Amino acid sequence: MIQVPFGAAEWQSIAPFAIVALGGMVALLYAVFAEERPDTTSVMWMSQAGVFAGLVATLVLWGSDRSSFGATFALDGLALFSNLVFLLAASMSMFMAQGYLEMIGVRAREFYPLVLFATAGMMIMAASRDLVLLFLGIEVMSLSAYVLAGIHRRDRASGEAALKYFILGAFATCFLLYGIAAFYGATGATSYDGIRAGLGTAPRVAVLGGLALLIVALGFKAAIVPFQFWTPDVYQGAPSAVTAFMAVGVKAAAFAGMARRFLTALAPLHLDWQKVLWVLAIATMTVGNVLALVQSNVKRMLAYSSIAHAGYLLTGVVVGTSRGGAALLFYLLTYAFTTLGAFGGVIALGVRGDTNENLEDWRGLADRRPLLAGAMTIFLLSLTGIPPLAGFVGKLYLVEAAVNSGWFWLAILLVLNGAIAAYYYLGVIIAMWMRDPVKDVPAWESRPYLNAALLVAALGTLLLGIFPSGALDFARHAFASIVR
Amino acid sequence: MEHSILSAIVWTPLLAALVVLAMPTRSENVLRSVSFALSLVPFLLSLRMLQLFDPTVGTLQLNEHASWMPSLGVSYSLGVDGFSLWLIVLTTFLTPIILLAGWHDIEKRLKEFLFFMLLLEWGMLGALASTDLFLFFMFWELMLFPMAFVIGIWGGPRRRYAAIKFVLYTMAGSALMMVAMVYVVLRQAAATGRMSFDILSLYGTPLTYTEQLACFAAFAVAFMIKVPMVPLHTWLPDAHTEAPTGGSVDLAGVLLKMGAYGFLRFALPMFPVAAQDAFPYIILLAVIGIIYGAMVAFPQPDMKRLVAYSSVSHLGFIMLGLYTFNTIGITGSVLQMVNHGLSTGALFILVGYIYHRRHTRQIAEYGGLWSLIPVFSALFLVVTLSSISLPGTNGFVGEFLILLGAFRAHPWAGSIATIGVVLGAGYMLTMYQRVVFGPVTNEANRSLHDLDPREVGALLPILVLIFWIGLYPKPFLRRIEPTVHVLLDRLHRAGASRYMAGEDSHPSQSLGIGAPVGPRAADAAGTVHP
Repeated sequence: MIQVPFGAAEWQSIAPFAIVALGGMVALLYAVFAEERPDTTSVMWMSQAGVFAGLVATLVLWGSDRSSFGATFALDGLALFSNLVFLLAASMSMFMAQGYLEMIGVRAREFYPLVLFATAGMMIMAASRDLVLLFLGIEVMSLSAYVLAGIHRRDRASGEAALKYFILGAFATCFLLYGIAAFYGATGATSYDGIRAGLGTAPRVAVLGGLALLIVALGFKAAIVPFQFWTPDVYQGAPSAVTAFMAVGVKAAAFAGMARRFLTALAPLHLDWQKVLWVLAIATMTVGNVLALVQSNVKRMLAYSSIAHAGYLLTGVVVGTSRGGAALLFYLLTYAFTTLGAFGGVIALGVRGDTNENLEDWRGLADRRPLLAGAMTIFLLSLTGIPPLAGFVGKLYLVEAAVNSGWFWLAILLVLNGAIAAYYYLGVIIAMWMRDPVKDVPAWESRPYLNAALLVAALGTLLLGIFPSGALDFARHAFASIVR
Repeated sequence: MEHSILSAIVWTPLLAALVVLAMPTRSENVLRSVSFALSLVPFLLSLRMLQLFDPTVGTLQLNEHASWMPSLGVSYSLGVDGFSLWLIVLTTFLTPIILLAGWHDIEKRLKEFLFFMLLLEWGMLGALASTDLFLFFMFWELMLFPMAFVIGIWGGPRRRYAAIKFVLYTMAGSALMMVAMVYVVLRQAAATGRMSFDILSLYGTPLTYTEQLACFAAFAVAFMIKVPMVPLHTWLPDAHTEAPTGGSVDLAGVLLKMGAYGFLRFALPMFPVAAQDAFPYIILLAVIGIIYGAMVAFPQPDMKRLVAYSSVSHLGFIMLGLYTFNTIGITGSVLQMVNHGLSTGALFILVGYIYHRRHTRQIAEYGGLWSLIPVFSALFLVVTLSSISLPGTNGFVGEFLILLGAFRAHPWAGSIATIGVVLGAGYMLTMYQRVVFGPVTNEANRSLHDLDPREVGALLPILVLIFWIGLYPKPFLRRIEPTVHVLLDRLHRAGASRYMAGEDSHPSQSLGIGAPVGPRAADAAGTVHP
């Protein structure tokens, strides 16, 4: 029987995700057992309180750098920084869901607690220094995400999305388990330290096999080509607030987990995985962008664009240095604000009975709702990577990391992909500003929560672009202690 | 104020844009008057800058410096020298003129138009005043979008196509420039231990010859697209033709100069050896541009498209002047940037006037305007003559200096370029003759009314400058020249150290294009005071 210590350090390191999970449970119990059936707003605010408590815990622990539970669970810059991204995604998607879910006819109070549970899972993923814990985190996150994708029960697309996501997700989980088994067999350990120590003597075939299986499993969660086929359908079918949460939160968690695994446990194998991952990175960004070019549905286009961004993010892993990791983290933050905002824009356009997701529906938006069009333009330009918006600094930092380690072609293809992407992002901008409306979209109905979320996203996109220094330094410190 | 005059110039247009945005839309005339009045502020400030500018100094002056992103080594640094001085003045000078000239041009979404025009001015001024590579890049990308919006919303029938083409061309070019920029900064950081985007510290980056070539290529392509040089010019005719008058004027007046300016400020001094070795290609493309632009301009039925192609030709002259690598040529080139902005800007404004009346720009629709609208025809004549570089107008001074420089450095290129001058006179005068002279062929033109005082008043300042530069260019050249010497010194030193290192002989001999460039040209320090 292994003795697991459980002291102050352990309590501290689980505090952020435990608080969020606890908040989820309280909100869930409240939603089910309260005397009168509470309205969704109060459940939403309770869940927001959980997120806020998690944020407070994260900020209180900011600067910690230790691991606990026998070095299997980390409380360090990477975990804490990722927590910020997850909590941002959770909070924003809950605000955006408020009103939206009712509009599409979903009266599910459990939506908000589920978001919290998924968030807790993500936090475990980012903090785990053990493959089994990683598995645990992925499952906690994924199970909630499957339900969230299908939360619009009467909608066929939502059901299809949930089923697709679930079946392929389960499949990916198998790969992950096989991968864990392979590493355990080869090195006799599941913890990152143990694996790293055991790699020297491990049989190469088993190690490479395990590596391949792990790449498949996390590639699925992060929507990396060629494991991205589920993404457009699931992203399009799921309710937009859920899509926003998946596109940002799930992806960020997958990348945080991937970064830690590849840059610590598997660092000795970097020559092997770099060979695979850099091809995957280029394939992912190119496939995502090229397929996004031909989409006429804005939500689906954003799904493809999120695949492309997964490719950019992968660059940060490929580079394999602490600079690359820091660039990855910073990019995740910029991507979070921008993508949440973009999906928020999609939500804002929908009205009861008509989601208005086609590009045609966006025509002439600048005339009818100039503020929304302006915010959306900021998000799209940031996704394109135009200075001084957040997306540009993120991309610059990735390029810098790549060039610094001699990955010139990766950097060049990354920026050229940005030029391809400009075409379809501009398409939306052109529709909004330069075309006349095709149909009469009903006037602006006030949705205070959504507007607030859009405002926060727009401000975040602007400020992170103009004053990135603080966040950049945090991201650097986050990786400084991990990658040596 | 004295210490932050450049900041004041750069940021007042943004403030003005925000003020206009916040104003109520009801009274269009109030909107127009306010934005016109506000656009005068940066112009007055730039006159003050002219006063503060020390003409004897060739290096950057009126510098401002503040830390911005310390972790990336990015700073907010502004400065001005002989290269940017007149372009900054030109930018602030043209904006009020555009607003005045196009008073009634914009019929829909006026507030947004004024907002984007002021935003565009902000972007252009920022790019011209930046002495930090990151800051420059930011403004360089930023000014794309107001322009694209102006073309795409208020342009002609193919406006959306033109807008997206314009953006994609520039973005594709600047994508590679971004990688090269990061590379240079990292090399500099490796050498000094500190990351910095400051342009002066980047000038001294130790780069191997291959690195210089690759980075120069990346920068050069981005700038060549903007110039534009053949064969990367195809976005220009579309953008010019589709853009509303104000957009065309800014495009021709300032935006195109950004390319040539980029060479002067960044590509040449940062990669001096590679930049000098690239001369056969650049000169070849410049000369092709001169001839090709002129040939294609000849048969254009659309006045605006004709002027657009003439820009390709004129910008070829400017690039040729830069690549003479002697004082005369480069000075002429910098002056010609301003000249082209004035004369082509005025041409676009005049075409805009007549388009506003008749809603067509087809040359064939006109004829015999002299008898109908004499004031318009007279102004049109002056501007046309300035565009074909008649002595006494500004165009002559610039083009003459460029050709003089070219004949010293590359006689062959100079002689071919001279053909371009003749062709230029050919197509411009042909257009003028078909539009203005002869009998009145189209009855619709009989109802044309002549220019009103506002329209004349908008053009008057340009006319004054056309003759001022044409007759007494010294105050202008005097402020450009010291900076040219600084640049040539830098190029010379880089070239000299390279020859001392025992590199192979200069490619000019083997390619037989002309006399050796810069460092070897005997006249490098020749002074110009025509």
